[in-house]
Amino acid sequence: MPKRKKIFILLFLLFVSFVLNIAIGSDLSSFFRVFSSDISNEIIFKIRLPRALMAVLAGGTFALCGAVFQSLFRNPIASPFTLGTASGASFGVTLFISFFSFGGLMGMSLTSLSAFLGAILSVSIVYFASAGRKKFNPNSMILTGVVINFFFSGLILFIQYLTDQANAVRITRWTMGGLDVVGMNSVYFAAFVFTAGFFIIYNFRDDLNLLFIGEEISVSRGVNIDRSRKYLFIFSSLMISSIVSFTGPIGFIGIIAPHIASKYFGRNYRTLLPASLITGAIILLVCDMISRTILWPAEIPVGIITALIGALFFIRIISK
Amino acid sequence: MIKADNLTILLDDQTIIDSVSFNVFRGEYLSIIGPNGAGKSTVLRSLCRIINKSSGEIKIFDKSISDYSQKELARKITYIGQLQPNDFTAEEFILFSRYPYFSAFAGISKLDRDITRESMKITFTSEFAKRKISDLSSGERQRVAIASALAQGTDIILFDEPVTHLDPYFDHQISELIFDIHKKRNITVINVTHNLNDALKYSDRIMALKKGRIVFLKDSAVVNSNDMNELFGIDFIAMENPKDKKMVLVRV
Repeated sequence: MPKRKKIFILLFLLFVSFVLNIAIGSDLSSFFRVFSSDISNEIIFKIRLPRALMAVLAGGTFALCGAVFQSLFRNPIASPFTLGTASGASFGVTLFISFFSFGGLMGMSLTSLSAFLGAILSVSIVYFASAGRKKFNPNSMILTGVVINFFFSGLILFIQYLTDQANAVRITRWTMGGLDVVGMNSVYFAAFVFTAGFFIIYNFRDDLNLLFIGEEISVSRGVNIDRSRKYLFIFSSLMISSIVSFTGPIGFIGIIAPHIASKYFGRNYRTLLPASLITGAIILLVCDMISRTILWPAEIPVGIITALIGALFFIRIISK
Repeated sequence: MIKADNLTILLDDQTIIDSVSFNVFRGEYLSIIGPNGAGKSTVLRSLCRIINKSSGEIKIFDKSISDYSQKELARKITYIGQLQPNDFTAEEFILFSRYPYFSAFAGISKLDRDITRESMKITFTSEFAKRKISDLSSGERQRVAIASALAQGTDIILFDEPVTHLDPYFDHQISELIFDIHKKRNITVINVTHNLNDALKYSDRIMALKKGRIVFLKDSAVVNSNDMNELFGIDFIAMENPKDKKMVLVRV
């Protein structure tokens, strides 16, 4: 099947899952009520639409950056979270909730800000701590990332242990990841980051292909590897950090989506980048629907669903 | 065409190449030989900036390689080591070597595709264009690697032990292919090899390295068995190939 046709099928699946995501409320029966306009426009436009859009943007970003990191580190299980972004963001939020603990809208945007700063902090530590003699050393970066993850997790547990119980619950809830955004403002911001980030990264598509093959090939084919890696690393880290600041860490999509996409579209980053992005968006939309319906009327954080499904899926990939 | 002057390369504070100077002429086939750890690959890689020199000067077409952008340099000179398996198809991989000619937002041009097809034809790789590199045998992979270097359209190709690990059939086939494109396309070849007889057979000149210094650099026709005995510290028996009257060395 030609790649163009496959992309169209993927886009169609995205459309279907997007519509279903909006139509399905906490209970399946609301699906039909959407069309009988029993449910007010308020719910659709103030809650469900922003949420579905955020799922597309977040899923797309995690998948896109996952594909980028797999090439940068020449490692199929490298994901943006390997480098400590998630634990860094969680650490920022933990600090904020424990020591400042604003409520309301102001508190929400400050929570996002502290998550963003935490993520940037961890990525910077990884980047500078691992930059020794070589400017960009994939192996020592991954190792540093793993260590930073443990370090921040330790700090988070330490603070959680000391803080009062209500705060500890809020911290735990945040680290599970969720898509419950209110209103369109954060969606607009995420959309801007997403669009700008995608175009910058897509510009490096051929560099990504060569970097995936290896260093010697890249240099001899004319890639300025220090420059390309630096920009790719900085821009994808910024993208991830911005999105994580809204959704919290939603794991595994960055690993799974590029894998599925590369199975159907091949490794060529010219098509793999858009294909991973759409695949990631679909996966998160579907996982979000599951998280809202599986324990109806209760709703569970979508991060739990992606982790469970992702881990099972991952074991299947490895054992093949 | 290539001019190295007092080239010195340090890796981890160890002197790998110790103020080496040499010229490579246009259209020449130069073999670099020497014991393991002599610095053969290091010299080769420094010529296309895979490894950066520590001091001294390398000029390509009378311009210091430090003054080239990586893309400009990749239009003049390329490098082939042993191609490791990867997920791309042979055709995709060869097309990637057009990288120095890609521009930011343009797609792949018809010229790029034509050149890719042409390179595959010359190297007899057209038949596995759609197969993944990881599904090819090591001999087939080396042919794809050569095709990719051809597609890159450089005047100089650096080969880093291109036939190591190949069986005698593919060894012969790849060596002949390299010599063939060198002759037909007037491509300057620098070949790092452990196969002394191939070095004697194909090259115009042979450069011998030992412990980061040049032991000799002379016409392959005047290299004798004593040179080789001294270089490697073993005794070779020299014979004459009845076909081309060139020296063949046998180790016993």
